[in-house]
Amino acid sequence: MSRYSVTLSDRTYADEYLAGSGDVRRFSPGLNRLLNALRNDPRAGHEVVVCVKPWREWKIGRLPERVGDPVEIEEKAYSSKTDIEREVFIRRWNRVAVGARLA
Amino acid sequence: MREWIAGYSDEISARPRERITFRIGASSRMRYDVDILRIICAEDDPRGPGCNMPVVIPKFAGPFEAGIQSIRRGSYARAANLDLSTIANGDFAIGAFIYPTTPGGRRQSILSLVGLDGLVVLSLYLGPTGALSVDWREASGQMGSLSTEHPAAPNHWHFVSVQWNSGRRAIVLTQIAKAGLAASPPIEVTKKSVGPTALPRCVDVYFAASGPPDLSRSMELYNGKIDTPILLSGARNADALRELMEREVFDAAIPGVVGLWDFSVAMAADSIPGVGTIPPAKLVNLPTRAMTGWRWSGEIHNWRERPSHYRAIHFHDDDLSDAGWDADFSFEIPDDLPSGVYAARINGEGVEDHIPFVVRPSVGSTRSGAVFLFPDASYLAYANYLEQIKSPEWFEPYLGGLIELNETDLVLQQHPEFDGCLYSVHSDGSGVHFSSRLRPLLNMRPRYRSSLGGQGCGAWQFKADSHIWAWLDHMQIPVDFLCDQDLDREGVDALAGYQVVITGTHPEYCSGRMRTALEQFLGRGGRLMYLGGNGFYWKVAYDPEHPGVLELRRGESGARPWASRPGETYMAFGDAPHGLGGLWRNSGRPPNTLTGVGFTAQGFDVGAPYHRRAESYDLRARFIFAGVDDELIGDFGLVGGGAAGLEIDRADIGLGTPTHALVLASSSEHTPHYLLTVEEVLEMHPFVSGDVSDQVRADLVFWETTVGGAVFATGSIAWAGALSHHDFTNSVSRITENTLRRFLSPEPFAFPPGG
Repeated sequence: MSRYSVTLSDRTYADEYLAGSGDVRRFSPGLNRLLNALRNDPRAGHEVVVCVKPWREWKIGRLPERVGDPVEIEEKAYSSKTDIEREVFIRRWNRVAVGARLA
Repeated sequence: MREWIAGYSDEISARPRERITFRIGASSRMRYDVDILRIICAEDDPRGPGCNMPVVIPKFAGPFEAGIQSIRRGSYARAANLDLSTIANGDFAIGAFIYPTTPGGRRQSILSLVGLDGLVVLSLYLGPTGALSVDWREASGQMGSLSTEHPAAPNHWHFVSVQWNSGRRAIVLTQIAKAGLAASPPIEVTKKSVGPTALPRCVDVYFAASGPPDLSRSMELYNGKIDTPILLSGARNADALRELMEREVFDAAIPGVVGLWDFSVAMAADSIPGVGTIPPAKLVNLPTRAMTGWRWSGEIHNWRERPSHYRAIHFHDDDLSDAGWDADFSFEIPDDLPSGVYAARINGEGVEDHIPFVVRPSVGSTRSGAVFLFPDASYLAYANYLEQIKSPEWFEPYLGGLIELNETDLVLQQHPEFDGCLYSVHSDGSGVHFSSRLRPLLNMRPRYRSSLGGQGCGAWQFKADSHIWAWLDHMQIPVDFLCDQDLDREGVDALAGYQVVITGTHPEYCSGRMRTALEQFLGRGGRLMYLGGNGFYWKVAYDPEHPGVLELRRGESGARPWASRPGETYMAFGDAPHGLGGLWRNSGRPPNTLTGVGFTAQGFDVGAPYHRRAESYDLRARFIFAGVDDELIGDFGLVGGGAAGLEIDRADIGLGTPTHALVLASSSEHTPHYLLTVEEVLEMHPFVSGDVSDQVRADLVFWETTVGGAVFATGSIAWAGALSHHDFTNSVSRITENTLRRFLSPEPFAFPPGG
């Protein structure tokens, strides 16, 4: 048995995530495993939520390689943090699971 | 760079007629004025009651101008005016044991002699390759230099020395690594035909720095330990030097010794007397004391038992005890200002800051039967916490959701000089043992949304505790305020006149004197409302010489971001009986014996409700549930949507929960991101997460003491986040109110028969 890594066989969990409401209480064990793997991403470029207007507006930020350098903040503003979670999920999936691109 | 204005105060707690001084800095020059606010609710989540911070003294001070106030981090020591008249321009030797933690990369000074004219006359250091090196100034004005050219090994003890022989006009540099049982062959290099040194008759000696702070040059700060530094007159070889340094006791002046410091003396002080009449070494920026020295063998773990094994100081290039900013204004507490949490609001140009402080009642004028214990120790432990940015690869899985940053986080991450709390590690990877409030604490602020606060309002510590203050205000239950540091300083006397102590949501850090005072309070019939989770978990210590600073060791066990190194679990601060750091549980006083519950698990995504248990219908608990018909308690709340969440505690008779304690309700539906704490996992097994472990739960507990008092414990950080739900009309609020009003009644509780 080899150590777990994200493969195309996880597509079913990616679909589960995108079809769901984002309520963590309802995630299947397979989806939790996939999310843990996608979240275990090194600092350089690690996506974060940046609050622009408290309780109203957020953007996607990317952490710098070295703490202290500026956090790179994208232009697009979101009115829902759930939408950012989904957008980042898709980006990470597409980086890792080449060949099963999500849109 | 982002614009900001920020400050701190010299005191966090004051009584009427006492004065608090404030120090303000900014990212650039800007004008500001100051209002004094009362902080009743610091939560701005639109689903909640909203911020409630009325101005009590408008335009209290200003306008002023704030500017850049620098912070110099890095610890070192200085012994001033060392008399060298017996060796001036003659033979001498310098020695030390060193344990460098980051040799190489840049110059790091071990010991420097600086003339009263400010010129460095001799510097013993590790060079950019990590090799022991020495620079000296000759009488001719020329500089000489010598290096062993062998890098010192990181995290190994070395004996290092430099010996000067004027007769042979030679200088000898010696470096010997002691790796475990085997000492490496000495590395000894000699330089001949050197001129006489320019040693003056008097110098300042710097340890771990090349000289005094000077913005125009590097201080060559050193990372690592230094043990038994010595200066001797006369021609000595390395063996003779070591023979002196290896003595168990330095109890009197030793012939030929010009400078010698035993760093195991005056362990909590900032001034370490020299041996005999040698001037003291004064510490700057709190390097870590009570550290194992070269001699430590593993037989002793308490520095008080054999100080000679603890003659080392660990210096760090990022230590900080006091930002040292210039004072800007002060505030004398008016006589008529009621006890409460207040803040000086600094209104800058487009930016602002709030600097909180607690007003205690005048001596002897308690206005309430209840006192809120403002947990400044736990606030300090998390001060300027930034692990979410430093280690996102584990922090995001830890949260079970994306990391959210706010404007404060972005400022903090660009200002490492503000950084460092008890969750941080130093630049050399060793744990941060001290946290100081004598610097801006930007996460101890109204509205600060913490990544640790889970999904929802992101309340943690200060903001989360304001959920309780807001509830008390809404219920019109008067309460006084008292800080951890006050309780530590004054003991149980600080609680005189109160019938009930109310805790914050996460009073995790507790000193020995605090713990004893709370036990004595209960022993006098007092009542304790523990409205939090993971409380009274880590032992910490304050020190009267270092007001505003907290010490911690993370020994043996516990959920912790770093671990104390072997032999270094006893604190330098604090009383001997409480010297052992680590978990209160490992000192025989688990939180369960104080509150009835103890830390069991944590998770940072969503919370869960409590389910009532049969014991909640016991007649002893009838007053708690009066008017509460719900079986499910707290399936709502601003913190993760449930009253049981974040860090949670359970009752356990085996860990000290009183046998008669009623477990009124328990949570159960926690997510897989809730994990059992490590001290509960003696053998590794897969049943540690909230979806499979019965131990991952919060217990709501009530018990009576034998002297008419009682304890109520929620065992959950998230409890307070549910108080304001539905305009404060809900089961969590009702249960809390019922309990507090009964606790405020003078009628004693009856100890249950057979209890």
